[in-house]
Amino acid sequence: MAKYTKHRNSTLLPVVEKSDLERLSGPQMRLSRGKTRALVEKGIISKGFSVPIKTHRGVAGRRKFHSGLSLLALQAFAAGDHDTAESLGKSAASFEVMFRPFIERFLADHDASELPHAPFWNNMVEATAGASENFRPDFVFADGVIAAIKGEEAYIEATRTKDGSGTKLPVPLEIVRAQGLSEGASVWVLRSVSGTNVVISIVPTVPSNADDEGAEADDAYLRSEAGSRTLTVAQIAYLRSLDQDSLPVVRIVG
Amino acid sequence: MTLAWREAEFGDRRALQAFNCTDPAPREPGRRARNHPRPWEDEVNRSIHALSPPCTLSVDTLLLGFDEEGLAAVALWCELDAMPGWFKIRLIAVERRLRTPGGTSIGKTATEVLNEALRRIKAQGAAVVVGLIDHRNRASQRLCADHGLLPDPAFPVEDPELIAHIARF
Repeated sequence: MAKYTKHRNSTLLPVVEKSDLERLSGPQMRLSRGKTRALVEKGIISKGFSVPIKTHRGVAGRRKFHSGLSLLALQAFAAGDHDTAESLGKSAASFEVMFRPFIERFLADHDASELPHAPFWNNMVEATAGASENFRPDFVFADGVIAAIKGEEAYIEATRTKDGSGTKLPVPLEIVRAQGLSEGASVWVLRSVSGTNVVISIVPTVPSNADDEGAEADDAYLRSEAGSRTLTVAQIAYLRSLDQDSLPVVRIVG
Repeated sequence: MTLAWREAEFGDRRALQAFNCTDPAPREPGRRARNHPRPWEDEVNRSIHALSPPCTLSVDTLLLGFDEEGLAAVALWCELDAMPGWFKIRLIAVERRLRTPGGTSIGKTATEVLNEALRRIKAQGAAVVVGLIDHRNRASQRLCADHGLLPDPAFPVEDPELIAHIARF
């Protein structure tokens, strides 16, 4: 399995629809049909692939999908980092060659919203994480979760990519709403500096799995008799019946 | 060695997921891992990976101890609902790199984490503290006994593997 960058808790969505790519590319890019074509020719945006939409009446149009790496490539391009954008574009193209047949086969019987349940979903997440792991950490500023929405601001509780320290970032609610995100969504916060201007954008992500070496997460113990935050009625009754003065005394050593 | 203590924050989730208080179950190449030789440790280990600070309930405290290599110890306790002043230690764990070989004796770090937890529990206004320990977990039983939390065989448990250890401040 590919290694994740040290301080990332999540990774990019492996697949995005073309319409999402346009929507998520941000105001800097304003992707028109011509601009998209030009960026595809430059290798920044991957070619993508279209899948027929099947209904009970037969085929009703097609939907176009791209590797999520294209989204990051666009952000890098918008920030002026063309080398990174090109290498991400190449990775996106390789991703699509590798997973296109699986996605097409899966979407022949399932809706796109069911992709996270596909048997190859984790492979796509890992491949995406692997391709983006060498990405400049100062571009992906932080990795977090939309913890709260208050008034006109959304608060992202995040871990800084560079040093792993925690931070709470207020961002305008508009950029959260524009991406169709809400509380609890995992995101990357991207930051680019151009002269004296700073551009903050967010991209939706999927939480990554626990460390390879570690055991899987399982909160069964925290719900068990020993680990839960409660006691049984009989135990509470027993404790209430005790003469506290007769109990042994806590000893704090040293 | 003295650990640096603080309550867990959102940014600690990754460290908690990477924390290991026990060795993985023995495994032969190409075969599934066998059952863990110390299931009580494995359960706690997995549950630590599932912790997602910050604690949303004010009754919970999730305390982390750090050394120069990172997360070294974890303690989780709560004040019992409807019993103000009565606290339950839900788990205490020491990173395996700091455990004593074999894991059956009490290490310095385990003593330090229980000391720190008890100090903080006392500061939160505790009158009594209770913990439920697997009867096969000799190290934790000895650790608690050394800190005054003695076994109470009359405490009614549903899981026959557990023994309650209780003490007052």
